[in-house]
Amino acid sequence: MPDPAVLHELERRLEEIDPSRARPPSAGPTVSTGIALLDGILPRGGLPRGEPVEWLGPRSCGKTALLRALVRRRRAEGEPVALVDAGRTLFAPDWVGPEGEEEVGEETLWVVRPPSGEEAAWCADLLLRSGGFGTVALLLGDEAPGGGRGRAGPGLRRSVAVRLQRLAEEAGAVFVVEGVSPLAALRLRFRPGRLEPLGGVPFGPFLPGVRPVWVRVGGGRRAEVPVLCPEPGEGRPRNRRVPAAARDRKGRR
Amino acid sequence: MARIASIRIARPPGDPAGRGEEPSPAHRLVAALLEASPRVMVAAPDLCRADARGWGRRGGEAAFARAVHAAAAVRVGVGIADVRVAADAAAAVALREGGAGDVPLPPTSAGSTPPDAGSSRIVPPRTRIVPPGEARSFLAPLPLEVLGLPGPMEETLRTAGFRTVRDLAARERVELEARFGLEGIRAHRRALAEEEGLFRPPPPGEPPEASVELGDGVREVEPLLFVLGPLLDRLCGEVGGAGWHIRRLVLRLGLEEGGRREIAVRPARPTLRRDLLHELCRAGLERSAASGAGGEGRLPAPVTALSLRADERAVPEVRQEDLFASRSRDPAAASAAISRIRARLGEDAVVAPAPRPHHRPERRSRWRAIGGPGGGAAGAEGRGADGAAPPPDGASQDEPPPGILRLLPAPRPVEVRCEAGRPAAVHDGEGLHELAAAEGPERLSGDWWDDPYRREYYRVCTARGELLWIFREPRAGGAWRWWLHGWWD
Repeated sequence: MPDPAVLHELERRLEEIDPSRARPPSAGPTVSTGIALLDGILPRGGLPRGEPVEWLGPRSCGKTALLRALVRRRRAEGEPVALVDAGRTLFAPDWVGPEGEEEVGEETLWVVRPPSGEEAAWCADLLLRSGGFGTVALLLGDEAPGGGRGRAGPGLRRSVAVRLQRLAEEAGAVFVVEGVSPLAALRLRFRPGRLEPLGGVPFGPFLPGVRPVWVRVGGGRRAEVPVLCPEPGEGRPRNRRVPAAARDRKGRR
Repeated sequence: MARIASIRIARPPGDPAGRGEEPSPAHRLVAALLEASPRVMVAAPDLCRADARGWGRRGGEAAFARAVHAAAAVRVGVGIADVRVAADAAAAVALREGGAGDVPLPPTSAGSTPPDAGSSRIVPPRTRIVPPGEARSFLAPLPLEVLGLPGPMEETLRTAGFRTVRDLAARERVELEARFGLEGIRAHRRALAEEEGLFRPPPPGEPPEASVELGDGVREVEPLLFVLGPLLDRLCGEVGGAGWHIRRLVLRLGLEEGGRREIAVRPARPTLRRDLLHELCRAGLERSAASGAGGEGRLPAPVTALSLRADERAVPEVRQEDLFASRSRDPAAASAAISRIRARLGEDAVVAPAPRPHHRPERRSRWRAIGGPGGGAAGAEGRGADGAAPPPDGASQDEPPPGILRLLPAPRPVEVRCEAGRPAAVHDGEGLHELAAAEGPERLSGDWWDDPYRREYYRVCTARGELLWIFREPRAGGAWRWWLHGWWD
């Protein structure tokens, strides 16, 4: 019996070689990711509703930064968003309201922190089934609920993925899986870009500035999205001014 | 004044007590009784008791008896009196004597009618209502068995020549104490109908409550759920009738070994949905069972009483929908999902960020438990990426997003190789990572009054581009221990 993780990896690579093998995304509505550069390379200009989106990359590839941009965008439009944080690694100060202050009363973000990774898929199932959330993100963390850790990282079992895909479709929700998700209609691959000197100034990973993140989707489309570097002395960056040179570098692919 | 209704179930001759049936006839009668009374007790497999007060404006005690007869699917005898022993005796008499039809309620010795008699004084068949203050005279001519004394005591009294309750009541208590001890005093109290009231209603202003006292201790969850349904029906009806929804429910288990256990159920938003509340109570009971050593589906200790109290109530939320939105989210459905998650995984499983200023990173990352979506939380949807979406909180889509810290729930020990006193490579269980850059140390210390810590944080970049947050802290002997605390992503 072949290893399902190996099969999935083969399937994924075949899709990269021959994009026509990928499950065609439906012609349903899409939503913006909150990052114009990213929207620019996505089919139909945004993330599809009712279709699982695989959001995959190694540590420090910038996928959480772009996920947060998506969450902020959805919240700003008044949409209820739910995050299932299986690894319990989200840092609370990074997920406060749009202006950085704590929201009281009218929340638009619910973070589910299951005590074990095994419960995460069940939580996502309930959230999608309710139809009450416009965006649900399942962050699998290091552990692999309902499945195993494949070569590409933690992932969902195929049977679980099928169920969640149907629920997302019925709910018409944006469903993002940070991890390997069989049957994903859209696969986003993130990887950290090369650190380069910025405008002649020596560029280090922790100096104020940006670091590039490469995002690739099926069909060979990819974009380089800048992400702000962490600021010295703080666990989280906040209220920083973007260097003009960094702005100029945006859009370069 | 207490008014107690005893309901005795007629059983076939071969099985007088209905033993061996699961659930017992009395448990099956609970649902019917809860429609008439908020406080119900299963006294024996064929005997239930209920609080009969509060029917003054609903037709009186006769109407209560009619409601019980109508709701019960089996033949029952109903007795109503001030004290338990008189009510039980009245129920037995009513069931034995039956009734040829409706008869007028007899006047009391003082010439007044019983409380709650209301407009209807027609007593249904198989019903015996003992007027207030007349329990003693009602019991007097009855045989001694009606007192429900322990078998040996009853036999002893019979041997001593006592035949009726009157015989016992006529004696001095001191004499009975001398002859029969404590049991003699108890028997005399019963003969004089001196028992205290069985049911104590909550004082005015207290939250609505419904309760059932179970005969024998129950350890399995399923039989409790069987009784829970009617209790919820009763409570939801009462709370809903007053125009409220339930925000917080307290499920109280009276334990056989003494004491009680409370399980709080808080739906994500106020609701009267019985199915949701039942599911949340089930989850609470199952969690309680899982936490004990009783085995799968079994509670840690036998439960003899079950009560539900609507601890917090709220005005129902009403949400104005957008007529032109192609699709809108249902906050009630989202709340139900949140409630189920919280019921199964605990109150802290669903949270919102609530950071606080603190030097220690893990304490800065604080989450607060929250409920479900409020009335205005869910917005309209269906606008595509190219649609007329509003600008998101003033932030431009051209602004680079900030890097986000992923903080491990607990720092993970790592091996760090240092060169010239600075980290040069990290081994974190997945292999050795050479470092391209390291910045630090950033020294953090404090909490000396509580849980002192002293750390030196480094932000390091591996050759693969990973931005890790590591720290070291001193160990005994002057050595350092390294930890991975998180990474930027």
